[in-house]
Amino acid sequence: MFGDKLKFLRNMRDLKQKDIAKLLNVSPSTIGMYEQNRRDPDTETIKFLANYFEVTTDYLLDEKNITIAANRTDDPMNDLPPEAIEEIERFKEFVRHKYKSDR
Amino acid sequence: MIDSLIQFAIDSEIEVTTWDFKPPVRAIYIHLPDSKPVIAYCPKLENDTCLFRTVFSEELGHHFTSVGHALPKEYYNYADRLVISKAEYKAMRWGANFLMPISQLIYAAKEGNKEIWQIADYFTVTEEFVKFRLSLPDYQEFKTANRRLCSF
Repeated sequence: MFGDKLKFLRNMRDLKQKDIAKLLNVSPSTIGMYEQNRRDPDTETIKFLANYFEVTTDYLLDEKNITIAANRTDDPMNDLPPEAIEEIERFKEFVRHKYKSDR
Repeated sequence: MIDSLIQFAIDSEIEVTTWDFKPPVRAIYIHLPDSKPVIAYCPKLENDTCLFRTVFSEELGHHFTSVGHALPKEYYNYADRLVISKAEYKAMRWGANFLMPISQLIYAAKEGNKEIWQIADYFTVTEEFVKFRLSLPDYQEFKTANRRLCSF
């Protein structure tokens, strides 16, 4: 969801919630609400964040076209450990930059 | 045998790369908006050709069977689990049929391969993958009609 992505991108850049709040001219608690998916940002904010983090608004919002399938050594019904999820998130960033589609 | 599968992926306009995923992840198929589809695998998979072919064919299967399915919350959300298991099954089936088409499976049986491990050797896949392949309906139908030929 949007909040998870915002949190991930923020952490990737080693930023605090108050840093993002300052950029958007809102309170840090608003960023907290976004990251907990308790509040949705407006369109302008999404565009701004997409531009700031150099990702598409699709990435921030539209998950319908994403396909990810992980082959695992364990039961695919188990939860993945956090470090495995983080590595996948890093890989996704790599894919976005290296394999950008021309279409 | 590794190269030919990778070449098949490239010919299918899938990018292929290696990545040091953290356990238990050993390979991933990923298709993001605005990006090309990519299969990535842990480099050490190449040390085991049977396992590589098995894993890689399943990831190929995702390209051909899972596109359009929304699996973004695969790692987080219980509600998506049923969809994921269906998608996994479809991908596995695709991979198993791709590496072990029924005609070649029958040929392997006629050649005198009678054990699961022999079939695994014959197709250079894991024994688990052979067992999965043999459980699919087309082989089961063949087996019912040709009991003397099929010892596995």
